[in-house]
Amino acid sequence: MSRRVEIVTPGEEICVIEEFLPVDGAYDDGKGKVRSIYVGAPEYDIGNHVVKVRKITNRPRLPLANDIVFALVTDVKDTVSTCKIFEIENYGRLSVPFTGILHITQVSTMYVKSLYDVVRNGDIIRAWVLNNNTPYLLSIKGREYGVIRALCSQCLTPLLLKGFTLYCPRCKKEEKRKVSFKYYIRMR
Amino acid sequence: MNSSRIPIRKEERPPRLIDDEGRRVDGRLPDELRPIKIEVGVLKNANGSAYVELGRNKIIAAVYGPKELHPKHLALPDRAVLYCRYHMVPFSVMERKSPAPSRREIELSKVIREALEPALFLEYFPRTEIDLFIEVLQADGGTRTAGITAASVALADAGIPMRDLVAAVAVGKVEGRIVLDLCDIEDKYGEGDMPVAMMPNLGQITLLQADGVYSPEEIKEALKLAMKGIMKIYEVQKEALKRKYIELKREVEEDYGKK
Repeated sequence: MSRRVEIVTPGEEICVIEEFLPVDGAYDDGKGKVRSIYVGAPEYDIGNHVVKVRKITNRPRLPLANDIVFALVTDVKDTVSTCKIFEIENYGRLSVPFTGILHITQVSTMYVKSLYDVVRNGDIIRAWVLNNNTPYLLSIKGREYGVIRALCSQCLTPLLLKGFTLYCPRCKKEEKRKVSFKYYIRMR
Repeated sequence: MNSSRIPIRKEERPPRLIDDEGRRVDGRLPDELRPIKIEVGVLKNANGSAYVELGRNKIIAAVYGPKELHPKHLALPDRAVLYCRYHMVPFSVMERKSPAPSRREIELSKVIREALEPALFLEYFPRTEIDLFIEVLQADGGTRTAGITAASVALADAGIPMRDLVAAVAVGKVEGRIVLDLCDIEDKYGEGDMPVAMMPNLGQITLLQADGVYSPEEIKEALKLAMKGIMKIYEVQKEALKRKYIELKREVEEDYGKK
């Protein structure tokens, strides 16, 4: 058996390929040795004969499929909208935003005529990620996903949730969005 | 005004670069490194960072990313782009250096990038960019190699997947002898300089430059000496990374114990 250490650095030998197969955070160097690719702690699974290296930091964190993210809508067209993903739920702010794409087919399980009825420029949406690469494809199907903050298109006052519609307290006007039940201010 | 009349401030050439006992200008033996110190995670705002002191060299490296690459047409569909900037601050040398990137700095940025790329799993992050900044705060010969040493530690600190750490050192020829880790005076008045970067565990060389004239035997001797120095630097890199994370782990465990 190889020596067992608590923390390994990239390139450090953690075992030989006959002992454990590398699955995550480790690689086979082509000469029969398994080496770490992160600074982390190796975890040996003796039952399945696999080894993985658990990273000690949670960096770098990129959006992954099924992550719940928060994004700012930067552009809306009839069928497609572009967003900036700035935060991942249960992780925190990203240091640099990533581009997300919201297509009209990923908005609702029902027929939607135009994306202008769903999101508008400057809205913040809660969405989930469909793929693992940039540009990230987003979906807001489901009650908990959708707009969580919206501004009035005339006076930029934050809109209030009144029943199922959004209401501007200044213009006394209603606006149409696909609202998440996590919308941040409700009318009392 | 004729600027050529302004005398240039510089260190004078010592009469001998290696004395009769085999000691060099700073008192080192030919196979001796300068004292080296590495610190990890010195910058709060960067994703990963490292500070290296190699003798009188002081170098800081910071890593950001992976992040989205703009303009997007520069992005590669199958891997991340490593953007590397080697820069000397104006007060790093005796004569004030203009802060604008010089021809030398642009070339060294490319050389450092190519020395680090083989060690990284860039294919894990397609269409993104990893930013690497190397700032030379004080220069005393061998800054490109110390920069590579710092950069690889910063990349490991940022959690970028790596095949191996990269350690680098310069060897050279001074008064007909092969010496390890040239300082500024030896670099200027010696007969040759050969920076070498290596992945120590895999035994692969990622950077090999040379100026001066060497015989085949001298090249072999120089590479042997460089590998010896690189193994010493690698041990310091490893120790620095582990020291930071053992502290971090202890803190987490203490917090967990309190709850």
